[in-house]
Amino acid sequence: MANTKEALRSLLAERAVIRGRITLSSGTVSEYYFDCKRVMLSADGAPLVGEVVLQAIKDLPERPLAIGGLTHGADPIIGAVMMKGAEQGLRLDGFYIRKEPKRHGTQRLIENAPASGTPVVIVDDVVTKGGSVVKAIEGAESAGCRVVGVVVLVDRREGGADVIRARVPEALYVPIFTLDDFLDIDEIRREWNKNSAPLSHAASM
Amino acid sequence: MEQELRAAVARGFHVENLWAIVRLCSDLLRTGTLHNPITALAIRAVCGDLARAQESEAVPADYAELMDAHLLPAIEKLLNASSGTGDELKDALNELSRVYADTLHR
Repeated sequence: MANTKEALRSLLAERAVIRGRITLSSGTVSEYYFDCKRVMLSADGAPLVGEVVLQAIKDLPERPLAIGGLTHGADPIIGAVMMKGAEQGLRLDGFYIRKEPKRHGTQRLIENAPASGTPVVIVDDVVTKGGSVVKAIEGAESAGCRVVGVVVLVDRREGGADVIRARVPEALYVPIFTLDDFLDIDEIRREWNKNSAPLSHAASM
Repeated sequence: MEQELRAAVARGFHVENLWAIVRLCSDLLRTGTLHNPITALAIRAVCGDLARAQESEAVPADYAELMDAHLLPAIEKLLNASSGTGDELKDALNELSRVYADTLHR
């Protein structure tokens, strides 16, 4: 398991860290960005994500029956963990929460919402201020679910953990990695302070 | 709710706030109380499109700042024009449309 986790960390460090002056979804300006999609959606990254996150879920004090999160960050994690769980005989249903309810027809906020009272785990790729995770928790709770755990791939250590723990004190919050696991962040900061680093990857509009 | 929308717009156009603006506009449209609901529809369309485009992307800060500088006055002008004359409303809608079109080239 330690090898799997290290392999995932290594892939994230190699492919997911983007340098440059970037505005995050929370509005904060940062000198780096974690684009975990590059790993979560890669053939070698997806199984690692599935295995590492599944292990974190198995270690929760209460076993959830469903896994969900805010679309789109959580989507690849949900799929990978469900498949890995099925391989190991662990049944987990998946659900995802929309950014806003469907405008027409059913006006659903949650796709494949678990039954009321179901213990669930919320997942996400990156936590900064915790806004996306809290929105997912609120969505799950609006369906009557009980959040027993929150598992994220990378916690940027910018206050999100405190916000999440305060929102669901009864649930265990598990960041697989934090900023400290990516040692070259210090180097990025030094570089950034020295001169305005050009973007190595630009947003597509 | 209109005051909430003004406050949300003033917070800028990063992804989380863009979605908040979209939700507020949807709520305003549902209430059916707006004198000119076209204002909420236009803001919703522009902010929803930008939110989807920027979601899960590394948005260069220079670009985000440029967006704020151009979009904020255009949307505020539209909100002010929502209780104005038909010509004022038309001008504000056209201005927002031009600013939006400009974002498509960046």
